[in-house]
Amino acid sequence: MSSAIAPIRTAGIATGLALAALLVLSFQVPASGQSLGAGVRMLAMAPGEVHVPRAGAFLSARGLTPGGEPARGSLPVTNVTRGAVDVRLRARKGGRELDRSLHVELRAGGRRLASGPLSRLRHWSRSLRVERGEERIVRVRAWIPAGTPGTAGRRVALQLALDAELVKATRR
Amino acid sequence: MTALATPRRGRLRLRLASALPALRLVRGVVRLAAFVATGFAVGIALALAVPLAFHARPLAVLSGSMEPALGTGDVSVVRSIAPLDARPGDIVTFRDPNDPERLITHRVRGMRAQGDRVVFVTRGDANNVSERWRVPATGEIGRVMYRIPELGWALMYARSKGLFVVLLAGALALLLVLELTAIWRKDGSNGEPAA
Repeated sequence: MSSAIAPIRTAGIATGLALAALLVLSFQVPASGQSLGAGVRMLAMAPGEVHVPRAGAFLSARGLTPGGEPARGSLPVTNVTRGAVDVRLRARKGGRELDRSLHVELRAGGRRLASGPLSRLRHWSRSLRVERGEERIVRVRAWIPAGTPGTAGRRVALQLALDAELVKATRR
Repeated sequence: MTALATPRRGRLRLRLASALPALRLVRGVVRLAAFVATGFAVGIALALAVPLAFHARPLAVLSGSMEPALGTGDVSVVRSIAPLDARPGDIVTFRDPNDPERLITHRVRGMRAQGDRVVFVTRGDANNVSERWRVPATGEIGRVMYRIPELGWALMYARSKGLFVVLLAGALALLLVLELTAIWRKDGSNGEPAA
């Protein structure tokens, strides 16, 4: 009698287990495929000699991952004085959590004003000459080099402070 | 009396003999269904018990705040993860910031690392208010791996009435099934014609 039941038992229990497995598989809650990158937001603050657009951040990124695409932004700087000015930039405020891992490059007219970890941008950059009435575009690139650990979910909001110095006219 | 009874018994035996294939088929189907149900119950029990060995545990869903992803009365099997392993979009279980005794299961809307802590913004899919909470980066939260619909009612009932009552009822039901099976088998062997 038991030998007659055995195939039914095996088939029945196997079917039941398979149904349970199917139920579990069909009610799986998949993990989110989103990546958790680092975020950076940069606003500019300029003195009276130069004008920068005040509306919002000129660079904003949330998905920066090590070795991933850099975030890019551009900052138009207009000289509103009657003479030429030398403009320097540096990062102010914002958390220091990404100071070592986030790299930033500032360029204007093919010339590099600053490049390196964000901590380096805490000091003044090289100066950029902006002639009277001229507008120069400062291009900013921010990225995290491949293999940098501990950046997931970190965010910084920075203020890029500008300093302008009037260039004294040389008499001939 | 005996002379009259003997032909009746013979007719009954003949009827039974002619009905035997159908009875066997019904019995086979019932047995198969019983084994399928047993296998299914064992499978579900395994789906709840096996995760316990892998830092996961089953939790009954008590509210509809995550409808339709998680329904009231479902069981969600939740695995422990490091806070920074969660991602926006995941359904996570965490301690209520206002009542640490209470567990909440909601979807991550945003998260950020801040010093040695991770700040989460979560919201139930059916809610219109988010909650903001923080947890040490070295701590643990839960991520929902899968759910078993409606099974939570049984877990909640077992908890409210005491597990003992449920176990006792289960044992009695098992005893009843075994007794009925034994009687059935006895009847079946009597009815079968001798080889």
